[in-house]
Amino acid sequence: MKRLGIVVLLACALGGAARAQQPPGRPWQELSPEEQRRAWENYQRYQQLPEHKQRSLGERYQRFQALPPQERQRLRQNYETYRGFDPGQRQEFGQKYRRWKSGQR
Amino acid sequence: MRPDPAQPAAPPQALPEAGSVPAAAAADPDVALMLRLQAGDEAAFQDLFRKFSPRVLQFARRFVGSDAQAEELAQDVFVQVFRFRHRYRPQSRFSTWLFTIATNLCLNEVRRPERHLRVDIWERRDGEERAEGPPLPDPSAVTPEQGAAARQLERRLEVLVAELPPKQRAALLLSRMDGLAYRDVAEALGSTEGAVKALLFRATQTLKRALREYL
Amino acid sequence: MRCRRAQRWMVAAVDGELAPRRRRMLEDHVGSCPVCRRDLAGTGEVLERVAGLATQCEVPSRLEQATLRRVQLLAAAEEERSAARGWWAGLRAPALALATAAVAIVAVALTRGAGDRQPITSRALDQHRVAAQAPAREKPRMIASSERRAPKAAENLPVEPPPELAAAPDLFIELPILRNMEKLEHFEAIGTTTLDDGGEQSNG
Repeated sequence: MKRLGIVVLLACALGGAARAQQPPGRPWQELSPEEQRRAWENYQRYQQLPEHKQRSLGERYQRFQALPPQERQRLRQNYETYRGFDPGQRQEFGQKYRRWKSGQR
Repeated sequence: MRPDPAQPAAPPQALPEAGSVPAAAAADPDVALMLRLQAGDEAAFQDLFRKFSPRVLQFARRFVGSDAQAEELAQDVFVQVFRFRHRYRPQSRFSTWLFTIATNLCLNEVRRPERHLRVDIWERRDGEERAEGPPLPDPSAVTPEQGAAARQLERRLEVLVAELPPKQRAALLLSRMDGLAYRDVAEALGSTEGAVKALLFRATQTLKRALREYL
Repeated sequence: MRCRRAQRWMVAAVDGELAPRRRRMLEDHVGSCPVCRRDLAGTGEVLERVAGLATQCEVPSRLEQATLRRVQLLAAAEEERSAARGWWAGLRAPALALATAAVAIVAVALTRGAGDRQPITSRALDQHRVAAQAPAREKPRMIASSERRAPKAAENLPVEPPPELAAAPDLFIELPILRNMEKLEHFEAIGTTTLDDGGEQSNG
């Protein structure tokens, strides 16, 4: 039942994206082997998450798909930037995030 | 040799003796389970999982500092046990072999550059979602104040252990495991007993200095 | 015995891993050195408390279920691979015989053609012409070759992706970004946040 619920959620997310005239996600067959491998590994990690987190990710995906392409690319670039941080920079970024977050409340 | 974070940790393979399983090993129930698993008995895997997953999960939790990540790692450990089941030789204790896998995976994990971007650690530190493990009781606490002080010490200790260099952390946690002697810890770390003693000495000195006010 | 050496032996002593002779040496030293006596007690307490951390914990049922599921997939994939290897192994002997026969046929053809070069040459030219035309047909075959590569690269992947994965594979490719969306959306602002004790915060 949980799996069916997630499929329905994702279908709604995709349907919502279509209604907003956003590019639909690519079908599985169009992914490169490397993309398929990455998607499969991430899917296994996703499976381990609690249901509420899975639902939240489905909603975030809908929001991500609704972003302009350049904004989506900005987020990907930020992620790559973070991956290039050394341990000290990552630690500092974590501290800054907590400080920033507390200022948002 | 520094493990390649991109590659899954390959379990060790002890040189097999020709012929049958040694008598002492054959009498070990864990060895028996592994032999059954190698023979294709799926129920044996479940038995091994149920017996060892509490320790593996706790080890991973203390190592990586994230409950969700520890669950992923614990899962990976047992998947590796299954995938490489035919490499296990009964001359080696199963718990040593198991924790060699666990240690390698945990060390690989803490060395991955994108590790710190995982939302689990950030969420845990943010307090947005703190998936608590079961609270450790303090049987010696008489008053609520004593209980609170003990919990504070425990939390401080958790942080200190998590901040130790990975190999010191691994040596310290493994050596606290029931049934793992220094030679087993050395095997799990791919190191020597002397090196394990040195790692433990450095780790303990760090903790003693930091916990002076509590001890 | 010096205190420095005594301190290095304390952890092993607490763990019962110190050789008997060294243990006696340490006991003698600790008996006469109050500093090391306190140090040994502190070592024992720290190790005991760490042991209190490194015990067991409750394993959520989802972890067991997820692990068993992965192992079942792995077992199924192993069965598939071994079945495929069995098919090829069964075919190997006749395939080898076929290859041997083909070589024999070519050898005979070459021997016979030694006295009649023209047809062979023109046939060879035809073959070269065909080969020269091959690049034009390479493009469609490139797709085919990538499809042939896909199963090899994806040999640990399921034959059919699960419904959730098939419904939105891009979601799972972008998963690290989705999981950290807030941080990535406000990456610059977070990066310019100051950490000074004044608590002043730059919102970038």
